[in-house]
Amino acid sequence: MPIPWSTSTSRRRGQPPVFRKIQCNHCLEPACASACFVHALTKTETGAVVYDPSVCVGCRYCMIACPFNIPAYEYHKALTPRIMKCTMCYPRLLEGKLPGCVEACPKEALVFGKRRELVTIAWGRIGSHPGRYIEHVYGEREMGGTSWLTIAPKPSFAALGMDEHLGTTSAPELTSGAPDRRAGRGRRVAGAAGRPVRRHQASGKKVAAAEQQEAVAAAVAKTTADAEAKLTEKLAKAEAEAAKRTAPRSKRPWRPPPRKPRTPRVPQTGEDA
Amino acid sequence: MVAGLVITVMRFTMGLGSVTNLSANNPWGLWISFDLLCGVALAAGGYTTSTACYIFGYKRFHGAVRPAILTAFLGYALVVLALHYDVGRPWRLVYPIFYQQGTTSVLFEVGLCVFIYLTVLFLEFLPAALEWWGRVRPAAQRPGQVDHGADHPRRHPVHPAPKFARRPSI
Repeated sequence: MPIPWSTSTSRRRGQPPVFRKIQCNHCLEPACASACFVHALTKTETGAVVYDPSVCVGCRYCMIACPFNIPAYEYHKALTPRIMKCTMCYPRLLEGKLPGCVEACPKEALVFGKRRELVTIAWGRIGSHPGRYIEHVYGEREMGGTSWLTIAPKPSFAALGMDEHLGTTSAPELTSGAPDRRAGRGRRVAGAAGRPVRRHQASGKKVAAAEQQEAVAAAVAKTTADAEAKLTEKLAKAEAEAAKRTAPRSKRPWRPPPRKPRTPRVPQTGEDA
Repeated sequence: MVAGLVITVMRFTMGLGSVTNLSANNPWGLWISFDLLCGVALAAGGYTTSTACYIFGYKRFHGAVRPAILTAFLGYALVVLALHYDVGRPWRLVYPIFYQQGTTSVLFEVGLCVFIYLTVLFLEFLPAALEWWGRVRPAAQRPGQVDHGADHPRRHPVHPAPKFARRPSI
């Protein structure tokens, strides 16, 4: 069983260590589900990738397929071994509850919600604490996108043991024969209802084409404007919350404590800067 | 032999962890890779020999077909036997074909091929086994096999039947 947390040796002196929770990332197009030859792993509508031990043969192909090396196996069981991985507390999600880890976290380091909103929140946090976070949301596009997003403090995700060279193509797409048209989701033009706008005209194909283009452009403009409005609203909310959290308790302005003047340290040979 | 039996008992009572060094990062090891390599390679010989003899008509390989089919069948049977050791729940090995098909998986195609070809090899091996058991007469003694028209003095010459109409001499 992989250790469900990790510490990184922080390169900055005097800083506390950084902890990371390691669990299934619940990819949008999971490699494990694609690799399973009895369809024991499935992506559910809640976002969770769940495991069905009643059909699993125990072939362990999913363990090889996972780009994050997540699934573990019960090697100590002779006749009833199972693949073990985070299920995002799928039964709890069906009841409308939060996953156990999210509910339990005392520091609210874990947030559960709709993926689109979480991406906005993640970028909002990165933006409202300049210099603290790496400017990247891990999982937004890695392996085609995952349902588990991570933001981390500098210097790098690699320092936390996270693979930075995974690319943005999902594993099933890498091995499929025909390109998946759904992969071009971001580039497809959407009407206001989310579907391409179509118009039928009796007269003149050119007029129809021009009208269609106009309608589509209007729809695109509207959705972009809507999205921007939502984003500014969310950012304002996040900023207000952050301001609340960091608001000074006393009315007196903060002054740095008096310090002795120091001569700058020259790095010795054999020492990291 | 004894060591093998001991290890078999250990595997089926204490789990794969007791007899292998497999881990979360190395779920497939030497057992399954080497065994599949050897078993499938053995089957390749049977496949090519029988194809050469019966489909492409190279009759000079006829004598090699039976041993090749036997080797191939044993190879695939041992592959399945090795899978029974390696896989977590071997009685579910037929699930991907009959119960719930994971058609997105390459392993599904591999499993389907192993299943089908093992059946084919078994059927090809069946005449030899049945002959040994005494249920079927060897090919040379079966009626209609030899072209009597050429031997019998009274009959007028008979044109030999085209190849596909004759009974295959296995």
